[in-house]
Amino acid sequence: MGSILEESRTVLEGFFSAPIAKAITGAATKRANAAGQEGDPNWSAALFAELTRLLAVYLPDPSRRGDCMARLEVLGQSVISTRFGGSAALRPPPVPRLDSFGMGEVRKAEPRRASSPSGERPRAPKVGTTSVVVRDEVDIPNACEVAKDLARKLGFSLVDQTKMATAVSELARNMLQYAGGGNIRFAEVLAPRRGLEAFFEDNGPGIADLEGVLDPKYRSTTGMGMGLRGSKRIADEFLIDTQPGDGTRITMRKYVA
Amino acid sequence: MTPQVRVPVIKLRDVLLVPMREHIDDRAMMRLVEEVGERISTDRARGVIIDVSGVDVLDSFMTRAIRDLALSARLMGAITYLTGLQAAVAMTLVEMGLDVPGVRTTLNLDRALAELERDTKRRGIADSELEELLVKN
Repeated sequence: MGSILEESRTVLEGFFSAPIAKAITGAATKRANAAGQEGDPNWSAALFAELTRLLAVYLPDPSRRGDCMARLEVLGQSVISTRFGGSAALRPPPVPRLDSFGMGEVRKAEPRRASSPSGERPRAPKVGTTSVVVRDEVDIPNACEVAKDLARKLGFSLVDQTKMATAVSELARNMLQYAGGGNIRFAEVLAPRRGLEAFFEDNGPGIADLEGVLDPKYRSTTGMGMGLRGSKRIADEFLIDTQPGDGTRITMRKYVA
Repeated sequence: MTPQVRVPVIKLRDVLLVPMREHIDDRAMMRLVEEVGERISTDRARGVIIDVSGVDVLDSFMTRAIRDLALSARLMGAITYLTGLQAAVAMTLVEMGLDVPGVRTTLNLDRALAELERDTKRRGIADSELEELLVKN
């Protein structure tokens, strides 16, 4: 049997693409490491609590989320019972803090209630998931078009469609300029509110000084700071997961206002 | 794949009109900046009007390119106007903290032409003042 992390990742890979599964387990590990030593009951509890919390954000479909959680729970119980003689119960999760995810900052949008209390509301046509490969400069306008089109289908206002497309333009250009290209995955978000998520992934050098780049005083000759900060200001949620030498993964979300 | 977009540069009396119609790619934008620079000197233009009414995405690269275009045009004695900025684009620029310093903006092409006419008259005076200054120093 592999480590808890590997096992969890395998479970998650049944529901997400491999890089996203990796990003989620990575984020959960960071939080778990803050709670205790690896293998410690506190550590495991924190890990599973964080995984559960992240799933609630990243797996909006309730039936799939339930399925995924059930599998993780089985895994959690078996790991805890085999390693610690079944004495350690899963502890209640620590107070969820979105900004603990990755190195980036998250600006959390004001929570809004669905139009009807039951959560049942008229659905616009589903847009599903769309991927765009960025390999060349001509792919950037293309990616913007896709973003704008999806945003329009989801019911974004013209201003928000434009904002989404502009942020995609900035981040796609950064990927091309600093990492030689990458992938963008667009997905419809249903919870906590309806919206559009764009996930940017590259295998470039990563951002060594993220805080510096996000600092308003930072000016790169090529303008990465402007693009990154500007996109962050536009987004309702913005996560940057980057390590020097390990590429950059940016998740940005905008909700339908 | 998006076809390569080429933006026309139209000479209209002593003004160069640049109607940008869609979100052009970076290479096309750089080509455009170069071309406008060359055309200002070959066509002896006093003004450049960049019409962006057909552009629905202006990002930091594009605004920087427009700024560079305007600054180099100014060094060659031409005033640059940006006209027809869509409301959604303007609001996005503001929220992103982007700006196009050194570029005058007008609501539409008509106003750009009117202002340009006024400004070139006024600049005629400014130019002579400048020459005086240069002679003095």
